[in-house]
Amino acid sequence: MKSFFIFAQLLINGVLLGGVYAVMASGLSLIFGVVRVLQISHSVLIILGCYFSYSVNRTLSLDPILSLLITMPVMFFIGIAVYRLVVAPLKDAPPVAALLAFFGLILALENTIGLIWTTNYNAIHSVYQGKSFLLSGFVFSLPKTIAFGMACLVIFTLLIFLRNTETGRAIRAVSQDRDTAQILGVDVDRIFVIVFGISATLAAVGGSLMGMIYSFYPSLHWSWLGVVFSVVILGGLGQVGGAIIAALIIGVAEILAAYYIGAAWGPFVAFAILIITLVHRPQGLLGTKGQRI
Amino acid sequence: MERRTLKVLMSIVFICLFSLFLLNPMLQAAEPIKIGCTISQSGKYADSGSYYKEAYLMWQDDVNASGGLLGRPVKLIIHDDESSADKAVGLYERLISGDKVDLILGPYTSTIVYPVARITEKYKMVMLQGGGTAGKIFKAGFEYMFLTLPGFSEQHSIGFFEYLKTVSQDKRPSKAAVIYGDKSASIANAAGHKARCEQYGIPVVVDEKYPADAADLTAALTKAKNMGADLLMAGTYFPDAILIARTISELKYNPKYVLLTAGVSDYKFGKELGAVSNNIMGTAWWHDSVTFSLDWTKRYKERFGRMPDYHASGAYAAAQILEQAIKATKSLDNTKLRDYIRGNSFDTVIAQGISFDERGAPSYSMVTLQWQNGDLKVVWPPKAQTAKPKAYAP
Repeated sequence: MKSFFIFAQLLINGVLLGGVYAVMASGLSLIFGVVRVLQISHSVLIILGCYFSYSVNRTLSLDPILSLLITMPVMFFIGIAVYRLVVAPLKDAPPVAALLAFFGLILALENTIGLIWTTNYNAIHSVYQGKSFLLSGFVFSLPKTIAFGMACLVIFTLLIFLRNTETGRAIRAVSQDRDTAQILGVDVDRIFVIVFGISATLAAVGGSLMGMIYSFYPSLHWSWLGVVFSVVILGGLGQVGGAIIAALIIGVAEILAAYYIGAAWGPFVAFAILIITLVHRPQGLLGTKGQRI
Repeated sequence: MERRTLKVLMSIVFICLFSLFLLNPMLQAAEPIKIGCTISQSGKYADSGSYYKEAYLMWQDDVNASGGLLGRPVKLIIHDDESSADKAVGLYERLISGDKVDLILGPYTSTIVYPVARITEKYKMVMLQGGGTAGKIFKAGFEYMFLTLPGFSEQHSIGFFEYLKTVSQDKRPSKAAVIYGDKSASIANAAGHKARCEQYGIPVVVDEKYPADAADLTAALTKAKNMGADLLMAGTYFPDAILIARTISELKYNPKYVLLTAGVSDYKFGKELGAVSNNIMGTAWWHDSVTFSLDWTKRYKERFGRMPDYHASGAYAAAQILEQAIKATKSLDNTKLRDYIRGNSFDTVIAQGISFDERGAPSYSMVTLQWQNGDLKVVWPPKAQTAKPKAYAP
């Protein structure tokens, strides 16, 4: 009985962790689905979001969640800038050029962050850190539960937006068939701009949520990149819905492995899942040819 | 015959003039003692590196203000190693064979100190350093290298267990959980924790290594809680120290004592954690409230506008020991200096009476710190105490 109880508690912890992974990965998945470029600098945008949240928290004493009111719009424009300055000029270049450009962007942003905020570790103060509540005998970490709730809210809003708004439908149209969408009057360039903006906004949310749970430093995004990629590939490249399911699977798998095998095995599981997916189901959980988002 | 006398006379005059040139203190004073080092002024170690630079420069000015060394002024030649071991190795080669420096001071962090020490050994140059603590540095058989941070990674919990001896038997913990990040210093911290638990008869019921960038430690800490460990010990840096503090609070895990290692002494630890940091212990080589270096700490703060940390005091101590050895031996001969450093003890800003073994490892002199109601206190050893140690959860 006790061992079942522990297992259930670990499941809860895994799902809470998975929620944050889902926000981190959804932006990357969205961009791949619509623009078909692998935005490998997404995790450095998450770190940037994290530092913005830290600065807002420091200067205005705003809670990390409330700080999103400021960081989300700022990051939206940074996303647009990334598209205009890095992606658009390379539209006709071979895909590897965009990949190299993103790599350059990673280094540039990482070092800029280091110059502004130093390369030291930082953490964000919040009133609910270290707090938890009991529900039917299970411990729920308050910051992680809040982060999970926020993650659900943001992803739900994104899915509603994609399904029920004119722009959302246009995004899905471009994702499914760019040329036909263009012929039918969709301004593809504008859609790309919006998608990069939304993706960076999601990075802002991911960054704030990570920042209120963990401590961070400029080059930490390399560690997150692996998790984010595992989630996106397991979910199916370009499948936002798939990414959410995959994030929960990886979150739970990490926590279970860390408890039952050993704490050092957590990240191993994420990468093992990545490799197994690539070998046996490269299209991912929900991936089918031609259908995206 | 006449020509021969002339030759001899000329030679004598020449030798006299040459000796005069060599011995003339005025001429010598114009020639400063050159001391070379590299510091990470850019790249990932730049922030810690800045303390080394400040401390070395402060020492240079202090020593020159008091008349220099052997009647000569001291001139530091500092290069930027860009946080790269390869760059540092090349620069030390250049300092020694190109710039022909008289003396060397060490760079920061084990990964750079280790390869650089191979160079300084080759040239038989003394290298006092306050930045490289990794075990392998002391297994390499270096004979000219000395570390000023007074305590090995395995020794961090010595002070805590000295304190435990003073606690009555019924209040001592009975089971320990030892967890640690996958970094060489943290692994060594934990090895020391475990060895001392065994020595004191406290069984270790959880022994878990986790990835250094672990995103979540709920699993390991849940295990520690479920196993009833009432002593939580960890080998940490700042991020995992923060994560452990937050997670044990969330899990309502209340061991009698929580001893972490690095990270706790960082003022940000208490500032960001607030009440969550309360009664968590950590270890450090030095703290800015230790009584014997208060004057120095004050001068440093006035000059650089920030408190020095152990990087700064370790670097300043390295230069102080070099200075004391030069004054005592009246020599710049690196082998003589090495022999003097090996055979004597030194009062420095980081530790009083510090001495070295044949590996260049310093005598133990660490402090145990504890956050108490938002303030960082030195709780051990008693002579440096600013507050009495408290249990995490009595």
